[in-house]
Amino acid sequence: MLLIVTLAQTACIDLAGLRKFTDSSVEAGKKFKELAADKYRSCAAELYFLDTRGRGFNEIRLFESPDSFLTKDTVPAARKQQCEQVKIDSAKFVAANKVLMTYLYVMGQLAGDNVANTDKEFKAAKDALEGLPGGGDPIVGAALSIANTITNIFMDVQRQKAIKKAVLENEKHIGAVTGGLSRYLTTYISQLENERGAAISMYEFALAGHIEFNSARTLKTPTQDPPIQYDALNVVAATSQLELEVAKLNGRIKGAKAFQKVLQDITEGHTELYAEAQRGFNKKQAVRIALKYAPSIQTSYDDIVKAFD
Amino acid sequence: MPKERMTFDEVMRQSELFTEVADKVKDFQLENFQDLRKNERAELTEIEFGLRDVARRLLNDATSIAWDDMEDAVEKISKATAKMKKTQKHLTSVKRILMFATAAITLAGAILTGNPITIGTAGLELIGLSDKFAEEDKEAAEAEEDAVG
Repeated sequence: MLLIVTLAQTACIDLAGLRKFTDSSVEAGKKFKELAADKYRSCAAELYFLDTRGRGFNEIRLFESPDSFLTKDTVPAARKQQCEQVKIDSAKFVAANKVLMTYLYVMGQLAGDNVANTDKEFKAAKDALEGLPGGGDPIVGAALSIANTITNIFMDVQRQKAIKKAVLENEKHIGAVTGGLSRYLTTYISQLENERGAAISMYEFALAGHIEFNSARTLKTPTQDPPIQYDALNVVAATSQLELEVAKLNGRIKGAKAFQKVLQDITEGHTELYAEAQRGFNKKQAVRIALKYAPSIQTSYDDIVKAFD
Repeated sequence: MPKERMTFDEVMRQSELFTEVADKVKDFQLENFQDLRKNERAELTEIEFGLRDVARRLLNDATSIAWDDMEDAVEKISKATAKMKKTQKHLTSVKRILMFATAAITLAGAILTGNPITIGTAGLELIGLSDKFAEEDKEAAEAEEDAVG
């Protein structure tokens, strides 16, 4: 997104393409909140699938929502707490992401000589980061530095110079924030994989119970009809349910990896622009950098949307 | 001398390893489903879920875990978890799985609290078990060879 800065400085730019690039980047950034909320959902869903494991096929239900499941007495308090912790920890990363995206958005707007307005969410994100207890968490410090840059940009009369200065000042902070966000996404991907494993194991155990029941019935010829949980029709329904669940999770894993690619592109793009700024900020070179990363971000954005819409 | 720190990647590897061992316990139960008694199934499930709890905690803490004051504990953890990986192929009975997984959970608890002494003790116990299983399997294989020969 920062690449817009230089694109807009060049007379022969394709504005339609620029707009598409801006929209994709901003939309990709917005999706982070959904990914973070999904990590909490996934944690609860993993517990749900493990909790449901010992039951027969007709007892298998789709996971509804973390809030309804985590209030149940059957879930041990310590496990509930683990998912609650995910929710608490995620807030910090959501705020850091918001700051990063606002920084890039503001830079893009200013490059086009637009009046950049930061929204209330940015203010809230900045406040949230400032309100966190100390402890030297690198992502918090880096995000706050970026947030301060955004605030200072509005005070600088010569905005184009302010942009260049911001690129030079924030290079290390951008890397710290994108690195922290990417690591967070790695834990999210791992969480989704664990959820997928738990969903599959729920099915496997239901199947094992089904087979055991049928072999016992064959050997002992029971006097009563089999209980409904061993109805073969339920096996079919559960199988298709599992396939849908696994496909959805695979899509989200792909979406999270695509978001990591967006972060990587932002980092690399910013680093190249930083080097260019150090040399004096040649517009032609800066546009070349922008065009190098824009298509990749667009492709990643499409994958993210596909996974979470 | 700078204190050693466990990196994000290392914590993630620990988490994945505990998930791997939990999967091994689950697979054992599924493969032997009809031969296991009800209480054995319950015990295996409990130990498997315990391992998954550890994996989840490490996963949750990976982005912010503080590994200061660990000194040489990192090396002990690395040695013990390397053994964990190798030992998976020797987990061929309920008894072994329960012994091994309990030791693994103890080690995980020590890692999460960051106490180097407890880490050292738990690590040694796990390594000892691992060596014991490997030795027993080696002797059994040799005895089988002798019997065939």
